[in-house]
Amino acid sequence: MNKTYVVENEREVIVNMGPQHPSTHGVLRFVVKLDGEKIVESDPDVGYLHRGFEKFAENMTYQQFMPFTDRLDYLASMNNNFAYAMAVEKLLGISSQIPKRAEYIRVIMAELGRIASHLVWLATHALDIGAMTVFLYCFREREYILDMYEMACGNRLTYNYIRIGGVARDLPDGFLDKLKEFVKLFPSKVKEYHTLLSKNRIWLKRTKGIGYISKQDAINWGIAGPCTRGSGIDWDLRRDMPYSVYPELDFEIPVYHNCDVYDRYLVRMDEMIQSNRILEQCIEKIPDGPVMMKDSPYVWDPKEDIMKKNYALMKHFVKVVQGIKAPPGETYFGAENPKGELGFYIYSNGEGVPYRMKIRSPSFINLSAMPVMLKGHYIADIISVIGSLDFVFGECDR
Amino acid sequence: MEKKVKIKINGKEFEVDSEKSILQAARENGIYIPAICYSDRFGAIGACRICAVEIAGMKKPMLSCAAKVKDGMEVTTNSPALDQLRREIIYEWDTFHPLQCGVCDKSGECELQNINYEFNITENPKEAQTDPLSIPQGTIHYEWKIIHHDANLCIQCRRCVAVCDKVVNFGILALVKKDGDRKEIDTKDGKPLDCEFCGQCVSVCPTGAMSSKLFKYKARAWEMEKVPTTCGFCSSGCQMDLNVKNNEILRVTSEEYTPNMANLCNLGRFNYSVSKSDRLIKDYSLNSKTLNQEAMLLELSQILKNTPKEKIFGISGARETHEDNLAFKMFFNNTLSNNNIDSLSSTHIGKLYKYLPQSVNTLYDFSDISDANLIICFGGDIANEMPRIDWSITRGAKLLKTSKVISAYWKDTKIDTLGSIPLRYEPGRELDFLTSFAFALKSEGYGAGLDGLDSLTGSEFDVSSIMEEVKKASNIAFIVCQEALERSNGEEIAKAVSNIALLLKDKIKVYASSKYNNAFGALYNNYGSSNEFSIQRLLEFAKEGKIETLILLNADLFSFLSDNEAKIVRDSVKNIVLFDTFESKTSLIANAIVPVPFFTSQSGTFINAEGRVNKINKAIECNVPCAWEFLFKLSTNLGYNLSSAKLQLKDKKITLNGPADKIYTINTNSSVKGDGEFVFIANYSKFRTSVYSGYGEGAKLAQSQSVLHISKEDAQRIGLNDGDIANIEANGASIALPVKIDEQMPKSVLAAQLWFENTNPYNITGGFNNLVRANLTKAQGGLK
Ligand code: SF4
Ligand code: SF4
Ligand code: SF4
Ligand code: FES
Repeated sequence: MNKTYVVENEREVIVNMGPQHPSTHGVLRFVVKLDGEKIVESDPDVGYLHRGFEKFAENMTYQQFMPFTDRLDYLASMNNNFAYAMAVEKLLGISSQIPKRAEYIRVIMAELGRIASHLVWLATHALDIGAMTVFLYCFREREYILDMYEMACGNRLTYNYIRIGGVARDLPDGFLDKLKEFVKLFPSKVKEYHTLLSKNRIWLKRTKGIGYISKQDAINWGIAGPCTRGSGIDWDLRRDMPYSVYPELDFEIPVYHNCDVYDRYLVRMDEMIQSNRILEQCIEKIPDGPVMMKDSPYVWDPKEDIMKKNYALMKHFVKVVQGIKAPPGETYFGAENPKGELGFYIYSNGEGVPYRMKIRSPSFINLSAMPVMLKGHYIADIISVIGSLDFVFGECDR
Repeated sequence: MEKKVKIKINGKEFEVDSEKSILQAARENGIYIPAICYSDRFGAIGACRICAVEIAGMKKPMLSCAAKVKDGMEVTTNSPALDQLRREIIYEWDTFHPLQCGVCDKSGECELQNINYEFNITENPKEAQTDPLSIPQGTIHYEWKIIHHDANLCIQCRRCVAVCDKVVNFGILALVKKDGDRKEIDTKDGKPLDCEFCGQCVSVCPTGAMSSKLFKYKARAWEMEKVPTTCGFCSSGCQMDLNVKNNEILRVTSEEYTPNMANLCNLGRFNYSVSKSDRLIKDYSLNSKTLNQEAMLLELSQILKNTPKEKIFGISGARETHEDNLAFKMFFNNTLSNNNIDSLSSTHIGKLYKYLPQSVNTLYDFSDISDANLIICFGGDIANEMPRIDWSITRGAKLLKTSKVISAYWKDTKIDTLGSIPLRYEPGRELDFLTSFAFALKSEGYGAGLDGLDSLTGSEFDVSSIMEEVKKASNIAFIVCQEALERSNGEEIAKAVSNIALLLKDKIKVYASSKYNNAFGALYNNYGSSNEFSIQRLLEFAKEGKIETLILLNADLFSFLSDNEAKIVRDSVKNIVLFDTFESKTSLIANAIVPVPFFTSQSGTFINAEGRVNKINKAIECNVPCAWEFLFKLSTNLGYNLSSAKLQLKDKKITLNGPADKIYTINTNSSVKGDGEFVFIANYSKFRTSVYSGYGEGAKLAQSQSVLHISKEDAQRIGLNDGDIANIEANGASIALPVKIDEQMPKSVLAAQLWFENTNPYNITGGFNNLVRANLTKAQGGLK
């Protein structure tokens, strides 16, 4: 953000918004040039939450970076864990060797994550526009998901549960029962949200035709996830560049064509239902078996072996202290995260730590397209556009 | 000489030097072959067998570290059969290895761990067949000093044996038979380890079997930050890494790619605790009053303002960095506008480079010593003076087998075991050897055409053996030891060496050894040149009242003068200003003390005996500024601004100025002073390069006090046994020392080491001299 604005006539004003503002969903600063109340130009200014994650990654082993991914999009930490683990697995060439049960668990976690993330999106989006009730409802359901996460890994926010080569531990007893309950109940909840919003006149006024971005612009700006699917682009990595066990699952990709805030809203609403479908299938299909790869040079040996077998103990020291020696080369892997394509580009020169890691953060890219969506709209619409893009600064700024 | 051959490795063709092993050839071309026991430091051992490769036409796999390349050879470095073979070796190691990584110091950098990881061992069929109770308990040598050996962790790669033998040339370790057919690494004689305590064996051990007692359980390998630096103990200038955690040095390591090939001696490797000695000077003090820095600057400038400029003198200990030494020189030349300074380099190498003509005074790399086909080591026990030269000689003679060695000295030393041609003269008769050598060279026609050749005369000393070798050799390394140059006739010795160098001009490389880590830096700064004052005249100047203020830059008076002489200096000089890191006898008598950081706590450069400009880096914090910073401030207070831009040395290697080619006439009068039955020599221990080097654990444990070396015969005659106290008397003074019977000592010669706290041998030899005739008696009732 280095732009200098020139005020061309006396009607024009320049307004600074943020970085501390209740509806910017984090530390976002916005500079807007207004003609009366109309936005002439706007410019987002990011970086307030920059923590240098990519640089950190160059100084730690592959495994050590996992907790950092939790702190990218902290509303979908499981999905980040998942994406990162798969990126490293692709680099190591072990993607096909992950135990089936682990893959199912990961998908369960990821889809729950999608629902939880969308619930927070809906809650805050609606709250920003003035609908308090939705907020309370959404958080009620999200609590349910967090309870399940807590059962599985002990944490309610940053999970560090998924591992390179599998998951940290198997699902606890009772987890699937709890999930079953949730899956049964959840569609009715989504219906409730619909009743509160989808035909609500205020909601329609504030979202229909607002924040327009054409299909072509959406492609050009590289935006991804629900935002693109609200602009008529039928693209979802889970189906189009499939990974994990998604090919074994049946789900639909909701696409809407009006390119506005309302359609992006509809996409996410439908996605929650689709995620719920995936979860249903997972409960049916999840096999028994191990949840972690075994005997691979890239994963920890089981604790029992480390305590008993000297070769396992020796290897463990190397893996922990020097890091797993990924084969030299580069790789990119993108996963369909709640907010769009979260990608990890990793360059390895054969050492125990990555030589370079780059994170493609959907929040950052979606946010960059905001000026296009805002042009010609009213200043009050900034709030609803922000809501419809659903970004999180932990991920945007990295 | 080098012949090239073509070989194929894994189907790819390479052209390599015919002298290379397959392993070397593969490594040069970026092909990896696992190898545990091989190292460039000591060559092939052939113990681990993991480096085996397949060669077309051979039935069995061959050890790539030992097998030389041959023209047309086809090598396969990896195959299922080889993989299986290697796995089986690892299974074997694992079977006999305890589950101990959790408490093992090597963990995290252990080659056994690495190879298990590399092969991703997931089972051990051999272990399954072995009854764990049948595995014998190995010995743990708790009783050794400094080095800890746990035979249970040993994989019997014999690297320690090889390094001790082929690098250190000490050869105390061996794989010896224990009960049954079990073998273990132990000392050859089975006695507790008594050696150079260099820790090379620790540095090469792939496992935790050989470890440092000083480091034991201090930190895990990965917790420490490695700060690369140059060793600040002698002028070898070894490159090493200080391993630091929480502002404390916990161990010292070195890497194989360094010029010293990861070799370090006892002081470098184990003596790091000097840096946290309780005798570090922390405060500025004036006449025993503690001051802060500003007050000290004010007081000092007052003292200097009150002294007539020509009455201020300075001595550098040749130990501080190049920057400090240069600043010291600038301070005198510019701020005080005089040149009343000299450094301790002038007591030895200064003499040599004063006479050595420019055409032969180039400072060469130590690696050239190993390549020389004749190495002449003259005038001292190089192993005690500069370990790195010792290793280079050993490398040339024992490992590469390219060099012949001649040791010209009064005593048998370690390098004589290299099959050297021993030339023994009586101590004090160095010139006999040198002049005869020069004369013989002249007679053979060397140096024809040089002016002054006729003035060369010889003595009856027999140099025929050396002449034969010289004639054959095309590349001679001539090493001049500090001991010879420190003799009172050191200047004549220097001239005689210069003559030889000039006569052999086109095939000789002259090296000089110094125990002062920055002696060459001080020399480079032209200390003591073109002025009336020199360090040898310190006493004379002091007595004549010419010195009112004496500034010492890390120069401990008691480390180059007798106690008495130091007292005379004290009494005749009004102000002694001492810049020093550690308390010493001098710090007790100085008026003003300015603390300066130890080399581990500052950044700068040292110049070593190769003329290499070596960087040092600050590893631990201390709260005092470098000497040069303080001197600059002091100068500003005195009204002169010195520029720090000049301090930076841009060259990687220095060259020295020297006189034009000249043949010197030598005064061969004997330098042996006094009378007495014995010749007493003050020389060096490999465990000290200064008094303060004994403030560290490594050096102290290796040798705690100066001892009197005496021949068996003499000892018996006088009735002395090891450990008895003897009085040595000369020049009307005497010193008392514990006795150590040394088989290699010639009759009627005594030797004691300098820079120990129990005694000052200069008390009987006098300063600027290290040899005197003395009498010896057994002390009655022992010492205290
Ligand atoms: S020597 Fe190596 S493998 Fe053995 S206990 Fe120590 S660290 Fe572990
Ligand atoms: S410390 Fe040095 S001299 Fe002693 S055994 Fe080890 S390598 Fe040999
Ligand atoms: S002590 Fe270490 S270097 Fe020596 S043979 Fe055993 S493992 Fe090898
Ligand atoms: S490296 Fe060749 S036998 Fe050990």
